[in-house]
Amino acid sequence: MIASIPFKARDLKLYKLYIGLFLLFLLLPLVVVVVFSFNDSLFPALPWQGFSWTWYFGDSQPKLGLLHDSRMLRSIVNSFWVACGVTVLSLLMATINALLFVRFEFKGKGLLYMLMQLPLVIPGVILGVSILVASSQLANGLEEAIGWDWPWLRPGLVLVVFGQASFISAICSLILIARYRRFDRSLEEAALNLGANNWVAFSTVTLPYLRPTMISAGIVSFLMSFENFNTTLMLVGSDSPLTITMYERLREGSTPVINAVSVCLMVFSATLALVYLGFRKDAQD
Amino acid sequence: MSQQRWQFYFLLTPFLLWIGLLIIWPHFNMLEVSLTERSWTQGDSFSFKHYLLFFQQSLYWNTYLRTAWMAILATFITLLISFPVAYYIAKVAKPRSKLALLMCCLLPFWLSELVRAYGWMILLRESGIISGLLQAIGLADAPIEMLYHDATIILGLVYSGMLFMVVPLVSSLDSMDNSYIEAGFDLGGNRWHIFWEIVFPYAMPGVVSGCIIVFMLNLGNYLIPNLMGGKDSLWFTEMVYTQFITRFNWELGSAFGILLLVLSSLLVWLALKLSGQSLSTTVGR
Amino acid sequence: MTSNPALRCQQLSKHFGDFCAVDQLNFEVAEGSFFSILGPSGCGKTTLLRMLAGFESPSSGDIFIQQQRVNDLAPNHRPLNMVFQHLALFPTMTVGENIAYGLKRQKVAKAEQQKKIGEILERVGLPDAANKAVTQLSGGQKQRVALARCLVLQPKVLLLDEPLGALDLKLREKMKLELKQLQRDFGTTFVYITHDQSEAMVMSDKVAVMNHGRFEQVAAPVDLYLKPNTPFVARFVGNTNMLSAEVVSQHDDKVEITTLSGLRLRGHSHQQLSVGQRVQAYIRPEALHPLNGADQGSFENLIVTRLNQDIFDGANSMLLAEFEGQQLQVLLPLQQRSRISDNAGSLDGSELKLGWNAEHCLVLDDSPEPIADSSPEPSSKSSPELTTDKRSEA
Repeated sequence: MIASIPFKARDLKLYKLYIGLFLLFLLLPLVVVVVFSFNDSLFPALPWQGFSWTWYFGDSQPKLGLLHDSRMLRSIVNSFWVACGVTVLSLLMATINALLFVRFEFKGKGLLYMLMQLPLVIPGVILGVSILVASSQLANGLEEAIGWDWPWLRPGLVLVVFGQASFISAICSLILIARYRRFDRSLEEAALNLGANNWVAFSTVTLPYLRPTMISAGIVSFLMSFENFNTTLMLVGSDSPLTITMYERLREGSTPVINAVSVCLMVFSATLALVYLGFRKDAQD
Repeated sequence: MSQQRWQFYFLLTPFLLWIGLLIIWPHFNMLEVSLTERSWTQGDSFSFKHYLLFFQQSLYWNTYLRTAWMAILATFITLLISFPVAYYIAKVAKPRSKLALLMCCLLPFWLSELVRAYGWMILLRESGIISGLLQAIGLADAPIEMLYHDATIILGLVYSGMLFMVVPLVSSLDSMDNSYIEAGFDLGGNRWHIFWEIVFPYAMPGVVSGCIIVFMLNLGNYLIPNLMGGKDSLWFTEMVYTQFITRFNWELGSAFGILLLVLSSLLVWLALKLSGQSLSTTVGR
Repeated sequence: MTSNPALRCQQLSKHFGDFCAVDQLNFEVAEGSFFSILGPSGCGKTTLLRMLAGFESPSSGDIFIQQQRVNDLAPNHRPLNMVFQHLALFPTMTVGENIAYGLKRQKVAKAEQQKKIGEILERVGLPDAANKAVTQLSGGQKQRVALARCLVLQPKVLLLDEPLGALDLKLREKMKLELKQLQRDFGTTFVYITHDQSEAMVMSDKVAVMNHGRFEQVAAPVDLYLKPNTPFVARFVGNTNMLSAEVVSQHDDKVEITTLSGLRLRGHSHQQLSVGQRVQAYIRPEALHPLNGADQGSFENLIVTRLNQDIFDGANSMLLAEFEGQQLQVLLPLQQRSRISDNAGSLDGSELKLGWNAEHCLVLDDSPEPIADSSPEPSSKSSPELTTDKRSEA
């Protein structure tokens, strides 16, 4: 490819240097986080006190490791359940949206399609705040009018799930719609022609075609939910997901246990990311 | 076909519930709250009070303008840094290193923004790595605080937005046929002309979509200004948070939310108008 | 026609709004025959096929498959199968699973399925392909798998929607013969739609030429070529020359006409023409014989033309000649070539005498009706994808 763009050798070297610096800029903060998770010191800072696993496995104060930090562990569990909920909701909505926008022609389709993308252009903080206001008003209204108290309308994990799903569904929808648009409808017709009814044709031909994309969209939503901060911050109650707990620790000034959490997150995300890329490759065939 | 209509409404209903209950209704609700004046003695009444307050308090609208300005600045810097990288990935790198480079750009962004900000905190703070290194090699004789400046916020925003700029740029440059560049050289253009008259216009959709996404993310960012800018970083999303969570002044907070929404819509609309792109071609990919 | 047709349509019509895609068709397809529907794109043939398969419902009229009215049957309950234009092999399944798909729907036992798959793959010449992925197959192999997937169900009628369109020329020629052979072996009734007249001619027992939603003529390929009923068929099927003329006299099917410059020619016609009527004379390129010097041959018609171009294309070599402002194509067999070019050093612009017999000169009234497709081209036509067809595409 270089053939098409004649570079002088010196220019090319400078260019490569720039790319190298860029990569350094990109990776340095992450490397630092990893390295200091092994520092046997109470603070994630120089000087280097020697290599240690204490921030992962340490079982006594003050060097309490991740595995024995019950608050941290509980928030990981919270995040996990939230992410599961968001993934299920988002995939469901995305499938519905894909069917609606690819298979059907109707009045106002363009407008509704724009509405579907709307959550992507609203800042996450605002999304969270607006849902907070609306759900609290609804909860108050219900309590005053008929005396029902629905705790899940108050800030808490259920509301966090809905808040995150509001925009993660939109992202999943776009991924799935793009894939479904490339589906050859005559495949479904062929299935009908060979004796399948509508549901069998959909489940034996269309769903297998969409499956790799659904899996990768599921991974995207799981990760996005796990890492979401802005929307979550506004909707969180007494049980906090991981990002909120980490944020609170950071503000308090934490021990390197937070590095250890970060490293685990990195490993976890990288694994999911690789799985995702594998499925995305599948989906492009 | 009645069965088809039935299927259509079966899909349309959840879509409308999702978009209506989680997006449209909460935002109208927020608008309504922002226009309400609460009083214990006279009940609620319609009022522009909170918007007036915003314009009367110079702190508020100064922060508003400052946020917009810094978000734009950070977006512009992100574009400047990312374009050569994207060009390298799309046109200069050989296929294998191309994939590796793209991976390098992608992987950090599978990770929580919190972890990335934390990495920078370890690097930049008074007791941080860079300060320590500078002292060690004798360039500084006392610890240097590099966090909590406006420049640090910009740095954090640029770092956060990088991927969302690189990926659309790479995809639009990738789709460009090398023969355009070759034809440009063949017809006597120099590198400068070819860049401004062929490459850049071709990448325009990618540039616009990257800029819009990055700008939206910057404007709505809460973590970076909060963690890297310190306690008094004066960022508008922090004001929204303060009004809602700390002061419990939902009416003013709602007004701020609406104002932030207006700001982002206005600037995105302006960017689209100026570049002649449409929302669906930029965000909807 | 046969007493017990495999497929019968009665007054079958399909309207899309004001547009009439299929216009009151009546036809029968004999059991075990290869029936082609030939027409330019936009003539309504795809709509017709989709109605037969059940993907479109007729605006009016009836469809019978072996005497059973199938109008109200859903596509999955019709006793016919279809080979789709792009084959529609399921990419997520292997070859074997593709073939098993229809058998599973019929609740055929597992062991029986495997046996049938093996047999059918054997018969289409792909004995070891069952476990292959669809993407591993070549174009011709995919073609055969698509056929096998349908034939294994032993349908009463097999519909084929231009399945050869995606293949390159060489392979298409080969598959034409192979398809015909398979149809004979299986004895299944094939209904084949195409815009390629050569495909229709080579494979079919009967061809229906379709234009504007109607059948212009239904006949065996030979009859279609030698005795076209309408100007459209004359122009669309095969290659032909046209000369404008007026009728001088008619006795039974013998017609005498006069060209623009007053030259008398003899021809034949099945139409009832009146004296002085404007007509077109249709002469096939191979019926025109180039003559040299004083050679008169024994032809009933003789004209002198100006030679415009000599086009060498092996067995299909042609001369282009001009007569009264109209271009004529003359097929020039290789052995005749030397005779012509020996005489004139440079052919262009020289005079060329052409002769032909009345039996090869069809006279038809000059139809004022515009014709959908462009003028015929040599050999197989590449389809101009005009999207006048309003069928609901996926």
